[in-house]
Amino acid sequence: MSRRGKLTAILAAIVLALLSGCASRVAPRDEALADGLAGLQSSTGRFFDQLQLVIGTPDADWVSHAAWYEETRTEIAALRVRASASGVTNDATLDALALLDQSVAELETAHAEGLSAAEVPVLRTLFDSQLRMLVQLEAAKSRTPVAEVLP
Amino acid sequence: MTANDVTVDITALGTSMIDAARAALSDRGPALQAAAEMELRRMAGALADIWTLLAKGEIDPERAKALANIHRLSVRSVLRSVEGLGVLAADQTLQAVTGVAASVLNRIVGFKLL
Repeated sequence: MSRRGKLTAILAAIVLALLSGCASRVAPRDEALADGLAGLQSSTGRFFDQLQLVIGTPDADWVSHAAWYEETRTEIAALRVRASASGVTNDATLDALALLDQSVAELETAHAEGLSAAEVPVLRTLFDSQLRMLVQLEAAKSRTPVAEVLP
Repeated sequence: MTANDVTVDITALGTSMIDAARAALSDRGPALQAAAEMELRRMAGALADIWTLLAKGEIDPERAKALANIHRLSVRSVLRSVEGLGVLAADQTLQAVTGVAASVLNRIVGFKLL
């Protein structure tokens, strides 16, 4: 083998080794996180189903759903802790959860002021999309052996 | 082995790596694009609905701002998840390419580098 050919091969190998060994920007698969997100998706779907049924009545008032907001805030906080435990900085799941948390806070503020029947489907679409993509992201992790996170 | 043999090997290796990358991306690329497009269409529809509610006087400007803010947060969240899916696809592609290259390059350099 020529010296030039061998050098080319070594350089190519070094580049690939460096690339394959670099830290991933996505946290590895976490079953508890995936299950938690699926549960949150179901719970949020049921919340909007229920709200749609009772909208326009006193049962649609925020006070009747305060427990759901409390549980959801707690669940999102737990999922954020779980996601941050991976140690991946700028993790997509962690960032998306933070945005979901802010969205729930905004929803609660609007709900406390009163929601109309026409607003519920719009809000549902927005939360459905967020949660669907989060669940899809976690599902995709199970198909990809994510590289180990470097300290 | 001559210098020409090495050149042929590197060319074949490049082709194999490209094929591996294509195979890895063929599964995820279109699915990722379709998912992202579907969600963004839904969100565009939601934004149009907010505007319609405002135009019809069913919500006031303050509420429209609040809904638009939730919409903005939702779009950012969806795009962040899409970005994460893209990174996963890139990881999968890199692993496929590295796997193909490893067997050839390790043999050429004479030790297990990859």
